Amino acid sequence: MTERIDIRNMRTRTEAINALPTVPSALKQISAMFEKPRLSIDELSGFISGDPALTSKILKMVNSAAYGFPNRISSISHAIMLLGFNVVRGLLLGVSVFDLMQKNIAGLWEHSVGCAVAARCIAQKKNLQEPEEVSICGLLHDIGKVILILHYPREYETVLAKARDEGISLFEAEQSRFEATHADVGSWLARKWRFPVNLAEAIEYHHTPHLSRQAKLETAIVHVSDILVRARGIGINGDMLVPDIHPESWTLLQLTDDDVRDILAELETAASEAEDL
Amino acid sequence: MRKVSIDQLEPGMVLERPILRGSTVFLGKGVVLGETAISRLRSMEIEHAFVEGSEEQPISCDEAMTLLDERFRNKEDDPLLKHIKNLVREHIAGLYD
Ligand SMILES: [Fe+2]
Ligand SMILES: [Fe+2]
Repeated sequence: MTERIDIRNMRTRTEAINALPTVPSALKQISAMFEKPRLSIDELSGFISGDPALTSKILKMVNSAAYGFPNRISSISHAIMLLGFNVVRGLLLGVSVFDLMQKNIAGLWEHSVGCAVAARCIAQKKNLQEPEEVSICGLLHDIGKVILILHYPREYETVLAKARDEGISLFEAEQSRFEATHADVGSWLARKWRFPVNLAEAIEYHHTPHLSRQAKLETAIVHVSDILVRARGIGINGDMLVPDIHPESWTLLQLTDDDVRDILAELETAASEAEDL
Repeated sequence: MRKVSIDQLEPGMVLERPILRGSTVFLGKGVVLGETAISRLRSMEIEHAFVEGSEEQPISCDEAMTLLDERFRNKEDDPLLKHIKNLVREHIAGLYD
């Protein structure tokens, strides 16, 4: 059997995303911009507004059912004002990996948008201060899958096939081939790109929520969203089985049956919109 | 809310979500579509609109339930997942009423 891919090697390689020929240049530019220690609001909004396609995709997202604002958000600076700097940064990243997701893992984008919607809905029910930030955790939680497929295309194909053939989760299949999973890879990048610690942790521990220390609530929300979205069968994301649920996360969130019904209803609307972005 | 392709729009349908042209609203939420609006929409570069009404399901209720069982296979002995599955089952059934 082939040997497992070493973790230190993986981290170095993952973080050198800008050197990878298969990464589209737009994503490289974004990556370079996010690494800067001080990125200003003007720089971010200038970057997005300079690209009409990007602008309209982001505005479509923020005006979609995933956010559900009563009044239309009509410009990027307006979006930053209403949603916050990190949310718009997260959306920019999300729409920029959209094509990569569509091309490489069927259903991953729909899965991600579904998780964003469910996460925002739960965050609102729990009266969290920034439901939109939690929504970004949902949108980006599986970004590591795309990065792994870019860095290790051949190995990742075997991982996808293994998950399919053996009826195990992609997370488990990854563990048999790599020393780190898409959850680790995503969190490395979130840190490199200077996203808030709660985002990095929610990504890192979305399959092992009991390990989260600084963002227990956000992590539990993403964990449960992931399960509900799969339970409803939205998106495929490499494996369609409902994964094990960590009872701790469920207990922490205290969702009532009516809460779950509401989330499922919101997912219905969002799913048909996701294809449209 | 129902997603329909632009060729399937009919006069009298009510928009559930605004239709944008660039970043400005071309037709707002709640607009009742007439012949003129529909023919203008057909000349634009959009594919779908969201109108009032319930979504037509792409598969039959039985198929949807079979897929649900598939997704939850091997999870029958987890009471919590079983409970979630029941809620999802009710939800799916409701889509076919
Ligand atoms: Fe995941
Ligand atoms: Fe996921």
